[in-house]
Amino acid sequence: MIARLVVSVLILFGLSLVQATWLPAIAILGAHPDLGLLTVVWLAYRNGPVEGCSSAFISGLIDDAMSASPLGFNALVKTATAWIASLLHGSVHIDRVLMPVLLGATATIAKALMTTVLAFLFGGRLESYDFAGRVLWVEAGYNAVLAPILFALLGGIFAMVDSRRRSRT
Amino acid sequence: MTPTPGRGPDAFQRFIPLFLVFASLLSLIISTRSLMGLPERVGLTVVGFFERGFSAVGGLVGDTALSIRSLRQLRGDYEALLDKTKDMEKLQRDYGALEAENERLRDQLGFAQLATFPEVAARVIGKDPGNLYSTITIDKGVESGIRKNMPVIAWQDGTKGLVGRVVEAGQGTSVIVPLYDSSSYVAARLAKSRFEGLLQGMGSEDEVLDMTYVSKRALDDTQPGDLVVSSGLDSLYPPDLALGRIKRIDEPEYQTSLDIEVEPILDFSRIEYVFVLETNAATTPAPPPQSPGSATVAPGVGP
Repeated sequence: MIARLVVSVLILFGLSLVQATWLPAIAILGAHPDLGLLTVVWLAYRNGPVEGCSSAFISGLIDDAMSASPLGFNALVKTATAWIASLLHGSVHIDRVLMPVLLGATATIAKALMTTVLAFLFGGRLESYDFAGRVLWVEAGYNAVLAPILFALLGGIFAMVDSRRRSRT
Repeated sequence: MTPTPGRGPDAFQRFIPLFLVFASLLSLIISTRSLMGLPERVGLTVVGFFERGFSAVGGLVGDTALSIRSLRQLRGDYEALLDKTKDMEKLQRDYGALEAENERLRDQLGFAQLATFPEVAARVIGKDPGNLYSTITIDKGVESGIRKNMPVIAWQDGTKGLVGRVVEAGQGTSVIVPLYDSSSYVAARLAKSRFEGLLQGMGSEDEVLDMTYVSKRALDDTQPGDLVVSSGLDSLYPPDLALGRIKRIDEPEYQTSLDIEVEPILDFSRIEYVFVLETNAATTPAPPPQSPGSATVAPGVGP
């Protein structure tokens, strides 16, 4: 579990850096995909709530450090998303395309809903998505398209991690 | 031994997600009340180190791809610049004479000199990892003298304009909130008529800025294309920094002030280098005199 958690955190850390430095170059209408969110969803689904939420929490804190968002904002949104995604752990089969697409889009909308609730609770100190604006829907579309590719990549990486652990034992 | 139901490692693990959500919420509550500047600065310093590395790799790949095309362009630019240099030499002579004359006239009128601030040049290395906040990360921080709330400017196509302000300064990187962020407010002034207002970002670099609280009396002297500059009254930004140009003027009947759409003077998607002005509230110069035509806007940014 520790090895998987370390790998998860390293992947999420790398993705946060990629999002901040490279992804703005491929933004569509001012929105770029949230690879960290997709990874958190996949980790929570595959590895369960403890690993999913722990890596989501750390990943969120890293995002908070790089952003103007208050410390805890991304951590809360990602941890809560991971928690919801972990409900699928061991009960739902994720195929190669359809489920990842649905999960990518749904997770983005869930994140938007959470930011709206938090912005309401914290009286405008926080930013929230505009449901009538294009950024949310472009991001949701982007995430939906990239989810199958990312999930396949993550599946490959973690299959390698698990097989190494098995061969050692 | 059979474990007692509801106890042991399983029960403990069940509480970990709940604990993490609670920890994030607690952190959010504390940080939104601005009690936790230190962890964010430490986080930015650590993460900023890696961010600079990633940005450098991305820059290297991009630069290599562009270098061949750039070389071809450079040759043409070199020829054009030689011609321009000759023109500039003449302009410089004229400018020197005008500057001396301007100084003499200012002395005669008793106007105070506008303060200039030391600038720290920095490269843009990243943007906000999410789509919700619109921050810009630069590769200079506390070790270069950058502090929170320092104004940031940039030059683009010969025009100097305000980019935003520093909201967090790590050891080697800083985070800037740009002018177009919805949390950004700048005390502004119409450069020609000198009427004051408040400029607010709309959250996206593709959108216009919104200038409000401009007296309806300004309508006669104001038209699309006019320059909007900082007024310096917010004690955050120096006066007369170019902000944008008027795109549309609305005169709502139910309001006592105008609602003006302002096109940012800078194209934020093209900003690569910025200059942080080493100033703060204590050293911000006094606002300029209120007489028309006294604005000292950068060359090429006339009202």
